[in-house]
Amino acid sequence: MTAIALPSGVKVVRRRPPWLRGTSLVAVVSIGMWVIVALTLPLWSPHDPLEPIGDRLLSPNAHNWMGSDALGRDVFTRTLWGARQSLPISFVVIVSSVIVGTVVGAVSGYFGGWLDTVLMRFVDITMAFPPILLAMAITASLGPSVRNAVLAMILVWWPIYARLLRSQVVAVRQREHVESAVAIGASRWLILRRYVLPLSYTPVLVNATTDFGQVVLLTASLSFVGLGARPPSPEWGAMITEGVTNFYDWWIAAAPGIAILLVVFAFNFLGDALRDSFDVKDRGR
Amino acid sequence: MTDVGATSRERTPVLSVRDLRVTFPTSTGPAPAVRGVDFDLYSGEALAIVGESGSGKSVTMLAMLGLLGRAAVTGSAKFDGTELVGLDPAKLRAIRGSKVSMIFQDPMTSLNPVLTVGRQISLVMRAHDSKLSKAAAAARAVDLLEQVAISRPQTRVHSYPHELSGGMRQRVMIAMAIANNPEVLIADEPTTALDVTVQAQIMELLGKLREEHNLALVLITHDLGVVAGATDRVNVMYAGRVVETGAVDAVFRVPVHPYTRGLLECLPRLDARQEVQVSIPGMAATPQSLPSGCPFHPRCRYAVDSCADVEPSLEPIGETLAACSVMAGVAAQ
Repeated sequence: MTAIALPSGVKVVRRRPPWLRGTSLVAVVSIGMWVIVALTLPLWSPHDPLEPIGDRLLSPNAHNWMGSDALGRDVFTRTLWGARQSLPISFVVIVSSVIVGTVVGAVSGYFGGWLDTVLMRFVDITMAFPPILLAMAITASLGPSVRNAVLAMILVWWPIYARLLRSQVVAVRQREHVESAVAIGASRWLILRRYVLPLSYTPVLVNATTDFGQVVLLTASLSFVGLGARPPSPEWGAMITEGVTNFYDWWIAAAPGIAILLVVFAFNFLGDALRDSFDVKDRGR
Repeated sequence: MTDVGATSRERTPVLSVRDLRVTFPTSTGPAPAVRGVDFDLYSGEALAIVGESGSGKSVTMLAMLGLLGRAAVTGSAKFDGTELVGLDPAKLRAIRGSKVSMIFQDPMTSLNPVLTVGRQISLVMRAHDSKLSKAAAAARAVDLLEQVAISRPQTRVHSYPHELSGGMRQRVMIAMAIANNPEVLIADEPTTALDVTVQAQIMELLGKLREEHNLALVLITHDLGVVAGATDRVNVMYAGRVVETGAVDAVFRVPVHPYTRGLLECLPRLDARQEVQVSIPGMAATPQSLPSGCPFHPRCRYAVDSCADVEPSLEPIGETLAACSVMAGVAAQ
């Protein structure tokens, strides 16, 4: 490699990767802050999320930034604690769904045949239902609890990834480098792992990032209708339910609502940025 | 089948193909792409298979290696005495890429874009030898890149395919193909996608490797210019059959089959001014619409009425073997 001398006065600007610019930088920072809050909250929590701190239904003030709820608990503290539920739940749901979806999609797309038909019809059936309704039905039949809600969401969510990955695998499988791998004598497992999957997973990755926010929303929705986290647990959906009974004390529902909004927005922005940076055709350079 | 021009008649061939037939199922009925091909290949020998698109030249080789999913393959293709047609897929896979390997036409798309070339070469070796350590495979990858005349192989092993030129990528493909010391190397139009200057270098490299490793080379091509310099024997294929076969100089000097003659006349000449580029009239016969009798007769300027009735078989005519009843008649007089 030869070093090319630059004319003096020319500054070399190393550009940040696309997912660290503009809105996505904001998204990355805010997600990072939520994660830090969720991890370290027990060390510096302003109040106890479950113990009353004094008067009930205090409006927002300098001491209690988001006021207090009907039982006199600090709403701001409870909102922060909500991140300790929503983020891990979404993480587990997304990671499990991606794993199940990847395995099913890869097997289905690569091996094809009757197995493909059976798996994809199952995916069709699952995707025919609105995800919220199906998740509600499954949770209700299993019994309302966080664990069952997580299980229900995984069941509802993996088919999306299975179908997405399958469509990619089917396309990549026909590329010439896969044919030449066959001619080299590579086994099917090796080809799937090294020649097909690395070129297929991008859309799944992008969708999973965007879906993270959607799962936060779905978790809150399930808790809102009483199928996920139950009171007194500081979960955003459950907190909004409490806000409904005290409708005119707006801060009780507004605080978790804003939290959901921020998280969903952040993951949507990040997902968009990832999509842009992976999509070579549309790279704004 | 007698073997005109074979370098040595006494040795047993490394690859022996007899009456190989390949039929594709299509929506309009079975399409016979290869209709009975015979040839022998000896180690160290280079055989060219020439023909237009759709003549079955690639399909013959792909069928032999079990690389044609849905096609029906019959006949016999023996490699070192092992029958390849109908061989257990796992055993066939063990032969592919180690004893018999293949180079494809387009090096731009035939390499895995997400692995460095070193990793890809290592994978080929480790796919056939599970005991080979990663380090040993990586070291041999560097050695192979050097063999295919890639400069700075220690650096290049870490390159991704998109960082290399077309010629270099084809060299990498060749390095992968010879990684397991194959006995037979099948090159399917290895220079079609490359610049003319690079074509010559690649052919030279293949020739050098053939000598060093005593490889038997099968060169599939439609470029007769490449054939002349690089091979010993040539099979001319038309409509799924070999229509003429013989030593390269014999076929080029006195082509017997009208199709071979046509192909040679089609070569643009630099030493004479040509008003019109010569071509063979008509369309190449396709497996779906095979003419009766000799499949070439509708395009043949020597054709007589009887050509439409009987399909001729290969017979010694002149210095080569050709399948043409008209020329056989002329030679007999």
